[in-house]
Amino acid sequence: MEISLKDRIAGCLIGAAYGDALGAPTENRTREQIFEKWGYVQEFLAPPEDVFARGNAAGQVTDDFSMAYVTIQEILKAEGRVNEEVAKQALLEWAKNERFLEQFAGPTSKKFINRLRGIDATEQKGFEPVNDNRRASNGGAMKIGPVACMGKGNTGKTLKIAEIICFPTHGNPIAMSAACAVANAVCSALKGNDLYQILQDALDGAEKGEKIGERGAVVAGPSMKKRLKIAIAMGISSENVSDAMDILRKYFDCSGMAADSVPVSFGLMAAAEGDALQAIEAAANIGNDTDTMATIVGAVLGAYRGKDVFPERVLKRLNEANGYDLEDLAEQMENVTVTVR
Amino acid sequence: MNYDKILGCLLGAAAGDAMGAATETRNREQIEEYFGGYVKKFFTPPEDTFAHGCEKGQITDDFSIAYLNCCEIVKNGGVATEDVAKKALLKWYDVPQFSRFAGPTTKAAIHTMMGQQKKETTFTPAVDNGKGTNGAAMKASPLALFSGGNVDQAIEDTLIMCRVTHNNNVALSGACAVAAATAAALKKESKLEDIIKAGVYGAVKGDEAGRRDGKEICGPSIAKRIQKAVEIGMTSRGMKEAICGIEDYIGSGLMAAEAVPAVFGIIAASGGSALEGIFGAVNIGDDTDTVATMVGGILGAWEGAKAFPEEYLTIIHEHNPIDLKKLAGQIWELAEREGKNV
Repeated sequence: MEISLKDRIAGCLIGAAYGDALGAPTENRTREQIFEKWGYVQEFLAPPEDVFARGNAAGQVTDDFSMAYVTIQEILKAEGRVNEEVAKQALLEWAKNERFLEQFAGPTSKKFINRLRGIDATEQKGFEPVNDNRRASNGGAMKIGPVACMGKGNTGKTLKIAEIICFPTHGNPIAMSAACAVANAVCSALKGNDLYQILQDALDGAEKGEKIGERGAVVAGPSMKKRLKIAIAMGISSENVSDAMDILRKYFDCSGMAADSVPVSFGLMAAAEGDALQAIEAAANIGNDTDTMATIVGAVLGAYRGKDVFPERVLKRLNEANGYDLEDLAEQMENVTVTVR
Repeated sequence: MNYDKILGCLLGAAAGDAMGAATETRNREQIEEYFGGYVKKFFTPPEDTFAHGCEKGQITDDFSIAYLNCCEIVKNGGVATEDVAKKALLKWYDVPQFSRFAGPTTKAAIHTMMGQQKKETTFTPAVDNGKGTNGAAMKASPLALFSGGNVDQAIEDTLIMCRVTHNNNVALSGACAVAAATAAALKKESKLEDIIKAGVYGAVKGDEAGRRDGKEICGPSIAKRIQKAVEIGMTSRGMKEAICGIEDYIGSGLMAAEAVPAVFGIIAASGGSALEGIFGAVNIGDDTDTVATMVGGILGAWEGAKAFPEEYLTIIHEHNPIDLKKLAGQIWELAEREGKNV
């Protein structure tokens, strides 16, 4: 049965938002601690007081999807133009939500945003080590999935979008490898490819992203693309999703570092054989950086399966809790032709 | 255990720390470029590393904390206690040339001990996964010197000494892996695979103890990653290839779940040579001084001080306010009294 491009884009948006909101309350806890507190989480919950998303309502997204959403809005405002100006504007626009900026922005993003605002970082100790290896984080990968839909399945354009949007804050080989793996996977899904091809294209994106990142900052750290391969292999060879969750978290840290959480995300997709809801839930329950893994899984598999895989009540709650109209947004995205310059 | 092994452990740990201080933070390619090849000697740390301003041969937090820990345990008749750990830490913090290096987890713990909890301007979530760092493992190897080669004793002592700063299952898993491996290395009859097996055993025990008595945080299985790293180390053709594979798949950074498995991968590739192991660690990139201090401690305990060029001891003594021979002698004497030297 053919799924229209619009329905794939909508699926990507809904999936990404769903994953983010589902994982928001479980973030940081271990798999066991999550289970002890809530059982296996399969419904929206209001985040407790001791997580980053404290104060959110059930179904509310965090920085992961809100950054993607704002970025898409800025591109639409610019009539499809994707350039450095639009990328910066998106960050500034996002930062207008003071609570989100305070609660969610990581130190790198915050510093960058403050610089854009003309607020110089006060505590400059004067010493900067040769590398800041913590920059190899998943902040690019976390937001790029939905934005990549604007490439509408054109690989070159999609990777260019990923580069322009992510490079300012995540311009290093590891972070860009992760971002481009996600972007290319979404791109592949929009083309109607099967899961195997999507995973291949993720690997291909990882390779290309690494090269793009090499034009940026040097970092020390493991190889995102090699670990991606291992995680996918682990996912494929697992007996079931639950086993995959356990084996993946034994070998990978499900943390905010790109070479950890992004391979795990794809490992879960492989283990679930592309079942969007199963994989998103697995990511939300595996522990640690759950919302980011779940948003990545949701973006890719949402594009793969199309919007109808998500129950009506999920879309309704997401729209309500966040003031969105995701189907309408998908339509707008479909009607715009992006120019990357 | 004998005097040569005790001194070997201390000297290896010190040399690894000092040599790695110059390459820290850079990745493998950057190290090769900056130093003009594979680093095999002490260099003055560059201006853009944490150890800037130090002389070549100078130790950082890694070995200085380990050294003071050992001194305090000796003063306590060879018995490790929480009070001994706190005393050592506060003494250490009083020495600016050491405490300038205090890592994030250690610094926070010391402030808490001194009653100066930093006013929490940043929110810390209920489960603080950022605490699974290598700051416990980095000081663990010499703690095994009080075990006489008894792996369980080394693990117990390490838990006691490291809980004050790193009371979580991930950090303690890493620390106990290193201590257990060192204990095994101190036994005359141990082979390299015994050291590795002990490391895996220690990782499991440390993780269990951390879950039971400390905080359970998120993190991979250090035991499983040690096995993966060892596989890479054993199937690589030489150390230079091994460190590429270990870096690619495991990493060698601040988190215990990277640095500690990297140590064992390097040990597996070293063929037991302490120098080869230290060089591998110094050149792998990222948290090189910590990886090297651990490798140096474990393989130094195995090979003994005779594995190192004579000048190493001279260099370490010249540039640091420590006396390794005196400490080794004191530890040996304590062990003699308890019949631990065989």
